[in-house]
Amino acid sequence: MTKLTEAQLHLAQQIRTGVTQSNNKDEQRRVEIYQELFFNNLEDFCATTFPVLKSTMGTKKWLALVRSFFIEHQCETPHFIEISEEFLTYLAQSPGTLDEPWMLELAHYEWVELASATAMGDSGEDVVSDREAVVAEFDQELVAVGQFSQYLVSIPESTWPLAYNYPVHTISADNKPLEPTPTYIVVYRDPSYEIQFVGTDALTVHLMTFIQQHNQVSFTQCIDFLTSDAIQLEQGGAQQFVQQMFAEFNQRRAITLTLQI
Amino acid sequence: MEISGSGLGFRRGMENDLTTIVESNVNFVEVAPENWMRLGGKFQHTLAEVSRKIPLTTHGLSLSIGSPDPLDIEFVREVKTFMNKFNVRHYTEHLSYCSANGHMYDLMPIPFTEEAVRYVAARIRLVQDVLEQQIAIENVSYYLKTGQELSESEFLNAVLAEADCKLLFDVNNVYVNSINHKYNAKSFIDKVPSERILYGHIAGHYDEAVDLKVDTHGDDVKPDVWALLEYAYAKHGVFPTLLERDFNIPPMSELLVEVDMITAIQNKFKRTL
Repeated sequence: MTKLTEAQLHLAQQIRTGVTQSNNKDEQRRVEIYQELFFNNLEDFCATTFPVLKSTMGTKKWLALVRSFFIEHQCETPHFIEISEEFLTYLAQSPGTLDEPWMLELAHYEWVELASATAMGDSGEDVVSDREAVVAEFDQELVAVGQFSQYLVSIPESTWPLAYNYPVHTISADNKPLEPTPTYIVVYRDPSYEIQFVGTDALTVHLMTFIQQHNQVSFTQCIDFLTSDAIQLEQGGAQQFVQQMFAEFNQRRAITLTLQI
Repeated sequence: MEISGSGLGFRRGMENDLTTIVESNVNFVEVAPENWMRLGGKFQHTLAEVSRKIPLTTHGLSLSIGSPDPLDIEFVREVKTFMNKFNVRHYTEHLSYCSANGHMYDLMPIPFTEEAVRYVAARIRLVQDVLEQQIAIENVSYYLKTGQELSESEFLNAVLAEADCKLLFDVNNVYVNSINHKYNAKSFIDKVPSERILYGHIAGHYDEAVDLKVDTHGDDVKPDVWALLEYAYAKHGVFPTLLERDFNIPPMSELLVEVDMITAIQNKFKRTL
């Protein structure tokens, strides 16, 4: 190791741990400035994305968690908005850092809100107006008669079909879950860029995940999926389900419909 | 687009002030690419609008030019794409490092040694090769000396020369460092090579103690710092100068008073030229 690298790692280590390795009072004071600036900055990034997790843990445990994240996790991303994803990765990889079984799911749910708000796609003015035009045409001509068969469906990057073991969307410091309750939620970004969430059922999340995995599928493929051996809905029921799902989430602008050519 | 006159650091939350900014004395704005380039949704839309209306420059935070970690070339390429997309002429960074076995998201001081000069200059050259243009590096504020083979001034000037890059001259940092490390701010300014100054920064700082100032960008610019900006113009000629404000951001009308101050000082010197 070069002398330069050694000096740099020494300072970085003191900043990460918050433990100053010097007997010189003035140097201690100066290292402490860095320790405070760095830790407060990191804590601020985490607290902004995970306010509910922070409030359910209490300040003392929360600060200890951020400290262990700082010491133990090597952040790869240079992008500030991805710090919370690094934090989530750390939590997922470090069992025992969280006291309650629902905390990791809560953290994931809080992170999804940021991921949806900042997802690429439908960002430029032109893209939005194109999409609006397609949707408007679709609404007028086809929704009324239930004609979905001519459209392909895809899930924008900003839409997240989610399945949890706990009701993450109702958790707060005063409302901690006592036992698991299967919970299905779709988080999406509306045309005015606001983040919305809607409670749903297992089958909708299942179908949306299927669409997501195949990038873009037809109405018929959705029905085939629901009538397949894995799910075994009968034809009429499957058709009705897909129709309702398309109608609801198209209205919310949480899915993208493209005319099949 | 080339930058000139006075500028303002553009932060998220200033979206609704864009028209006011364009109509004011602000001639250019600066963004941190790390804060914008992976942001979709309304943010890309905002930035596209900014770049249509006013010259845009980038001031990076995460390049970590002095880091013991490998240089992130993929990241530099992403910056290049970002600059092309939003018609950005310049990329500037800090003469500092913010990672050591992983990112730490704030700035640490590089030891002032010959070894560090060679190491950092080589990395700046590499970045310039990838971007196919010169970059500017900023003299940073620091609170701790981690290597004193060279003075700060010698270190800065040696890096500028060996990397053949431009300087983003932060006048507030000169002031903060001159107090924290007990040197003469004016003689530091005297030694800066005029021809390397691309543009300047000015900002407010926090008085931690009489002998310790912290560069927070969270307060109004102090009178001593305005005086140093005047001194720098007198010494090196007027250069484009940008106001940075990151915390306790006041209403835009108040920020623009400080931008007007930059413009007024610049005009004073232009008349005497």
